[in-house]
Amino acid sequence: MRIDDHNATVAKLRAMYGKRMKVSDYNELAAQRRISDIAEMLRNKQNYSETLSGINSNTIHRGMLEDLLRRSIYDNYLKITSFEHIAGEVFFDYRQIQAEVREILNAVHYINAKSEQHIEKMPMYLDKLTRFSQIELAKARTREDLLKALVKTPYDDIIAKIPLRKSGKLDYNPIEKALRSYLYEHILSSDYFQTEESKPLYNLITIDIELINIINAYRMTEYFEYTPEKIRANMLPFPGKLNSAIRNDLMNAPDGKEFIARFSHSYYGRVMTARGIEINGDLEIEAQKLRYQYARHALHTSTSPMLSVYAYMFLFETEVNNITTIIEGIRYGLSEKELFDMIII
Amino acid sequence: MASIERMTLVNIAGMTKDLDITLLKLSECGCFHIESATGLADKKRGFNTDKEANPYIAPLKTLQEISARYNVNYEFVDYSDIDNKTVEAVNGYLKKTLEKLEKYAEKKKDLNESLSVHEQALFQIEHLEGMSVDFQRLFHCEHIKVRFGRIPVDSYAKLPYYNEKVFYFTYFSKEKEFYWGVYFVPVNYSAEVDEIFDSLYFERMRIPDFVEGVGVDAVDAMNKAIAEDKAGIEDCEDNIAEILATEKTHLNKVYSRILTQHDQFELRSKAAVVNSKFYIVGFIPSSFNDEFESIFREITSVSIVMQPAEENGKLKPPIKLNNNKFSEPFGMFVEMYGLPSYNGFNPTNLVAITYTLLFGMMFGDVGHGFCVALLGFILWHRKRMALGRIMERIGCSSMIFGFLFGSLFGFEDLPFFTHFFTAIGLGGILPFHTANTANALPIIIGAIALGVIIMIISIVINIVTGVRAKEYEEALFANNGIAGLIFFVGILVMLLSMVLGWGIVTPLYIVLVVVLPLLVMFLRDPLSSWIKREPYKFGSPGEFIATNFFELFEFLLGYASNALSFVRIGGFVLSHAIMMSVVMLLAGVESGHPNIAIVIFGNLFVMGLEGFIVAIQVLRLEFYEIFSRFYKGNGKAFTPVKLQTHVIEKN
Repeated sequence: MRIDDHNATVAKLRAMYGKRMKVSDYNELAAQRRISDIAEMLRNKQNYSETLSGINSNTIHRGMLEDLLRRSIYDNYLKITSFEHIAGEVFFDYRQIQAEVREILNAVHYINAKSEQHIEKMPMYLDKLTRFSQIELAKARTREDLLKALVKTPYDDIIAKIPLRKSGKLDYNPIEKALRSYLYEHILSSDYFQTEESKPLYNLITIDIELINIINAYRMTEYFEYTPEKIRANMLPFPGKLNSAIRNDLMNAPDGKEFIARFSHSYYGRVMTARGIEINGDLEIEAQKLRYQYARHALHTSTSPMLSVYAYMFLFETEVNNITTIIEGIRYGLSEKELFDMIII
Repeated sequence: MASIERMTLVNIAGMTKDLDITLLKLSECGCFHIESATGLADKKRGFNTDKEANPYIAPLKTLQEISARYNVNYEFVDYSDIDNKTVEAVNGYLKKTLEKLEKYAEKKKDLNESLSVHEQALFQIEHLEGMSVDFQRLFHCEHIKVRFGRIPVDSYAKLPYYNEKVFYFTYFSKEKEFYWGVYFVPVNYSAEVDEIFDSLYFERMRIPDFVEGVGVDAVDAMNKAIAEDKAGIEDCEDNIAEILATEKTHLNKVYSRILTQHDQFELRSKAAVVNSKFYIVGFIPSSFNDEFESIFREITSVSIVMQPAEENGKLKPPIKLNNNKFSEPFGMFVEMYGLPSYNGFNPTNLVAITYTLLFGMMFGDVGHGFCVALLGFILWHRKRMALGRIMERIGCSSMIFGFLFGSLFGFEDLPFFTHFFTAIGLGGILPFHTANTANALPIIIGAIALGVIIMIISIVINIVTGVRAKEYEEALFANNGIAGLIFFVGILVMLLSMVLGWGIVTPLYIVLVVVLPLLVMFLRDPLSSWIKREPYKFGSPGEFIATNFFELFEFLLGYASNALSFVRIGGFVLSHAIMMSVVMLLAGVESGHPNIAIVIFGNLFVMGLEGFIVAIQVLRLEFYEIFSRFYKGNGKAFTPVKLQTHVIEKN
C-alpha cells in the first residue's frame, strides 16, 4: 500500500477535527473560575475524556491538568498513527524528533538557569519515544552532562560543535537554530518530497518555518534589540514565500513598530488582511493565527495523510495551548476578553 | 341526543353560623359549580370574603411531612370517632408521632454518615491491601513520617531522579493513571521530601486513625464496621415501619378529618361575608333544581334564589356536555379541543359518528378490529382508561368494514365472505377487496366525496349555530356561512355537470352561484356592519381590496385543500391492504404453507403502527377539517365543588 493511499486516516482526522473546541466551548471554559470545574468540563469533551478519565476533578492540581492536556497531544498522535499502522512509515517520525528537540532545548534552558526543576515539567510518557534517557537529561547540570546524556544520538555532534559562551553558559540561540534546522532538514530530506504530490506539504512546512523565523526576528528586534546581522545569523536557513530583499528589509527594521509596519506590506501581511486577521501589535499571536488558518485549509482540502497528520497535529496542539493559556489566564485573574485575545482560533 | 346541559344560577344567602354546614352540603350534593362571590357581592353593603387563617394548614403540613419522609400513603376513611377532638389535640398527637419517628430517623442518618466514612476508608485501604504492617504501628512512628496516597504514573517514572534523597516509596496497587502507595521519610527531611512529592502531584490521603491491623486485616475490620452500620440502619428502618404500622389506622382518620376540614375552610374564601350573613353564588344543572332546594329546606336560615343561567352578565354559565351512551367517551376529544359556549353546538355526536366511521374504513379488518375492541375492553374494565371505551367502539367499526372488505387478519380470499355475500344476493358487489388495484380509484374518489359531505355538514352546523347565537354575519356572509355553502356546493355541481354532461351550467348559474357568493364573501365586513346597523369605517380602498382579496383567496384554497385532505382516508384504506399483502408475501402464504410466526408478527406490527397512525390522522381530520369550520371551544367546564377524598400528593 502506498502511503498516499491511507484515505481512512484523512477521513478520521477530519472527523477528529470536527470534535475540536468551538468558540462556545472556549466561552464556557473562560467563564469557569475553579480548576475542578475546568477539569470536569474538559473531561466531558471527547478529545480529552480518555486522557482525563482517571483523575479526580475535585483534587486535581493545575500543573497536573496541564501536563495531562499536553499528554493528550501524544495520545492523539499514537491513536492516529496506529489507526492504519502508519507509525513506521517515512515522515511520521517527525513528531519524535520534534519532541526530542523540545526536551533538549528545555534542558539547555534549565542548565543555563541553574535550575533543578526540569524534572518536574518533564513528560515521562515520551521516554518510550525519545532516543535518550529523560532522567539523565534532567540531571544534566553542565555541557558535559548534556553531551553525556545525548551520547549516541544525532544531537551529540550537533551540540558539541557549538562552543560555550564567554560567560560559560550554553549558547541557546545557535543550539536552537542547529536543532530546528536538523528537524526540518530531516523532514524535508524524505524521499516523499521528491514527488509532485508533496508540494502542498512542502509549502505548508516552509511557510511554517518562515513564520517561525518572522516571529523570532520580531522578538529579537522588539525585546532584545539584536543587530540585523545577529538576527540573520539566527534564522532557520530554508526558503519561503518572501524573497531575500524583503526578508532583509524586515530584519533591518530599527524597532518592533517599524517591523510590524514592514510586515504589514509583505506577502503575509496582505494575506492576513485579506483573511480578516488584524495586525495591531501582537505579531506572535497574529502570525500563529495565520499558521492556524493555513493548517485548517490544508486539513479541509488535502487527501494526503502526511499533510493531514501534520496539519491536524498543529491544530490540536494549538487547541491544547489555547486551553492552557485560558487556565493560566484564569489563575492570574484575566477577564474573558483578555483571555480571548490570547487564544488562536 | 347530545346537547349542552341547561344551567340554573343559584344565589344562596344565610347566617354565618350555618356557613360550614352549607358548604358541606354543597360539596356533598356533587352538582354545585361555585363561583367567587367576592366580585359580585355588594361592597357598599359591606360584603367581604372570609380572610381568617386556615387552622388546618399546620396539621396538614405535618401529615404531608410524614407522608413524604416516611413514604406513607394515606387512605380516606371514616373519622367520626375522632370528630370531637380539638385541633390542638390533633396537633399534639401528630407532633408526638413525628418525634417517635424522628428519633429513629436521626439514628439512621448518623449511621448512614458512619457508613459513608467507613466505605470511603475502605476504598482507600483496599488500595493498600498488599501492605503487611499494622496501620496503628505506622501511625505511632516517632521519627518517621508516613504518607499514604497516590502518585500519577508519569510522576512515578521520575522517582529515580531523586535516588539521592532520603525517602522510600512503595506502591501496593496500580490504576490506569495512578500508583497507590506510601512513602516514608525521616522527620528531619519531611519538609523537603513533601515538597518534592507535592511537585510530583502526589495526592495524599488521610487514613482515619481508627483503622488498625495490616492491610488485609484493616480491610476485614472495615468490612465488619460497614456490616454493623448496615445492620443498624436496617434496625432503624424496622422500628420506623413498626411505628407506622401501629399508627396507620389513626393517621388515616386524622388525615381524612383534617383534609376535609381544610378543604371546607378553603371553600369559605368563595363566600362573601358581612356581619353575621354570608352569600354564595354558583350554578347547578336545571334538572337538579327541585332536589337542590330540598337539600336546604331543613336549614331555615338559608335562603335560595334560582335564576336563569344567563341572568347575571358577569357570570358565564359553565358547560356540562350531555352525551348519549355511544358518544360519551368521545367527549374526551371535544374537551381536549375546548368546550363549546353555553348556547353553542355540542359536537360530541358528530365526532363519535365520524371518528368511528373513518377509523373503521381506514383500518378495516375483522381480526384487527376485534383485537382493538378487546384491548379497549381490557383497558376500560381493568384500568378504567377512558380511551378503552373509544377503542371498543372503533374496533367494532373496523370489524364491520373488515367484513365488508372481506379481510380477516390480512387474509382477503377467505371463501366464507364470498359465500355469505353471494347467499344474501350481494355477491357482485361485496366483499369489496381493497387490495384489488382496480378498486384504488373508486376508493380515492369515494374518500373525497365523503370528505365533501362532512365539510357540507360542518358548514350547515356553523350556519345553524350562527343563527342561534344571532351572529348573522358568520351565518350569512362568511366562508362557512350561507354564501360559502352556495359557492362550495355550486362549484361541486358544476364539476359534476361537466363530468356527467348535465348541461346546467349557464351564465346565469355562474353569476348566481359562483360570482355572487364570492362578492358577498369579499364584502362580508361592510355587509355585517349594514346588518348590525352600524357605520362601516373604510380604510384606504387599496388596503380594503388587498386584504379582502387575499382572504378570499385563502378561503378558496381552504375549500380545495380541506377536500383533498380527505384523500388520506382512501390512502390509509389502500395502505392497510398493501401492508397486509406484504406481510402475506413475506410469510409465503401463496405457497400454501405460510410461516405462522411472520403472519403473527406482521399482524401485530401493522396493528401497532397503523392503528396509531390512523387514530391520530382521524383526530387531525376532526380538529382541522371539521372543528375549524364551526367550533370555537371557548366554554368553561362545569366542575362541582367537592372535598378531597383522594390520597394526598407527596411533596
